[in-house]
Amino acid sequence: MPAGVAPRRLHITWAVLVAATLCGLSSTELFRQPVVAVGAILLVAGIKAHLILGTFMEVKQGPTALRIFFASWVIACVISIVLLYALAPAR
Amino acid sequence: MSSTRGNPAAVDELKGEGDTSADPPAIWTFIVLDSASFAVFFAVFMAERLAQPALFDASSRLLDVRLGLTNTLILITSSWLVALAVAAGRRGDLRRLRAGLLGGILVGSAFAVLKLIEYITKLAGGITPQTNDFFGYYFCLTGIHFVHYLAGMIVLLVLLARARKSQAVDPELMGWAVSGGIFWHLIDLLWVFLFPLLYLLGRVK
Amino acid sequence: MNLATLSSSNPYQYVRVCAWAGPLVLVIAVVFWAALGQNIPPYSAAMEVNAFAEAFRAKAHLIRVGMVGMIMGGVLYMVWGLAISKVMESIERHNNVLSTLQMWGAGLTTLFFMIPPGIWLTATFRAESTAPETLQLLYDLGWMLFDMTVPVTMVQFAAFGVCVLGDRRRMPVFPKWLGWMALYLAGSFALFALMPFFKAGAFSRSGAVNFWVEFNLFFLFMLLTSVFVLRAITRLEAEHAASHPAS
Repeated sequence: MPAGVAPRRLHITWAVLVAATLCGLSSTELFRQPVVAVGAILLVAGIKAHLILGTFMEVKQGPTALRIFFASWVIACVISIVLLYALAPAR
Repeated sequence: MSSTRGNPAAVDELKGEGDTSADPPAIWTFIVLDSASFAVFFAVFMAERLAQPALFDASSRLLDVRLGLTNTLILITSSWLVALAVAAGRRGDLRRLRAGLLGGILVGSAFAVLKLIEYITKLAGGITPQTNDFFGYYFCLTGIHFVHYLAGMIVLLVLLARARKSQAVDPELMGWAVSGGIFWHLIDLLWVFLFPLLYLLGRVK
Repeated sequence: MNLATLSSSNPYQYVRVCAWAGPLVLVIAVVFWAALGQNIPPYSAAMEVNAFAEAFRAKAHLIRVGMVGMIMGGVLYMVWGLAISKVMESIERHNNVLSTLQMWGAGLTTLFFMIPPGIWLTATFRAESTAPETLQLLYDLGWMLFDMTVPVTMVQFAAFGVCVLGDRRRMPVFPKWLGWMALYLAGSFALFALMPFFKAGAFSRSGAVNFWVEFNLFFLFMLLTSVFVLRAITRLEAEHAASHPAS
């Protein structure tokens, strides 16, 4: 059985996730360019997803195939959302 | 592989071929397929938005971002408690395993309360899945997510019941706790993208 | 060689033949229902009625052949289901609830490889003289039955998945991931419930999710399950022969 994640690491991950959620929310106000703001929001979401996968779900200790799949999954989600946002006609 | 080539010793395979407990849990097949489907859902939502961005943004602003934000924090916290429970289980600490699961369930149940408040206020305000495409997708995507959430709560409750019956942390309990925990984190993981998609994109100025 | 032939009884007689019905019905579905039946993808529910009738009439002769083939071959789905249940019985410890549910699920799913194609076949029968609205209605009716009767298939896959995950052998008869895939499919088929609410888009009958993703995964699952059923039969025959030596 894998060793698992130390509780201290889980506490830090939780704190970072909470902070990142608040950062993501404030990004709606911080940037002048809508696409930049959306890019920032999704970047934060991608980092959060990466942390949940890596630490809570223990993908970091999993096989390479799983790590590659979820790294690509996070990147694909972030890029496709930002790209499709940028492609939409300006309001 | 299961080829036995008619070897009389084949029956021994019943009893085992190496220790498999170090392998990643098989539930990953489910998680991979499910998260891939959600990647498609996200893209579908954004592709539908291409045709009517103004409507999507105006509709998005009708959602209460405080509810979405609170639910994000609830899921993150519940996920954290369940991760602590699994970590405790690995150390053989049954008391903390139970406590973590109970905490995860209690915090997690607040998600349902807020989600139902949100659905009810929307429906009472005359906003239904038929209102427009945004709300069609809003109800579909959050509804599919909510079904996952309900399944996850049942998994946690079953795990807690199992942990309360156990005298010590046995490998079978641990196996289910690891798989159940992964499933619970999936609900958090998917919400991490659903929250900005539905609540935040429309608020960008 | 196969030790089973030496022993006095073989509980897996005919099971292998039944298991091959899976790949066979898959080929029939792809060739007749999908390719000849013009279902890659199906006509969109958003099509204007006259445009639909024109497109449908132009292909009616092919669709007719396709649907006849699907109806004649569809019964093989039930035959395949029996092979799965026979292998599931070797996993079951307490009773045969799961293998029985799987069999009923497969048997009832078989009906929907026959009844909706029968409705589409009816639409082709007098396609030239049938009013466009009637053609579209028949086509819609076929799809409503085809997609919305999916709960029987959900029961089939869920029973299979639960059984696979409950396998206590150290070397399971089916890989556990196949059980999780079955459970995933059983769950994701619930998305068909969204189909009647959409005439276009991902959840419509010809959409990205409810056509492309669901049907491809369904067909992939049929193929994978057939492979693992055939492997399991080889193993179970050998186990049976080893524990029942010929006298």
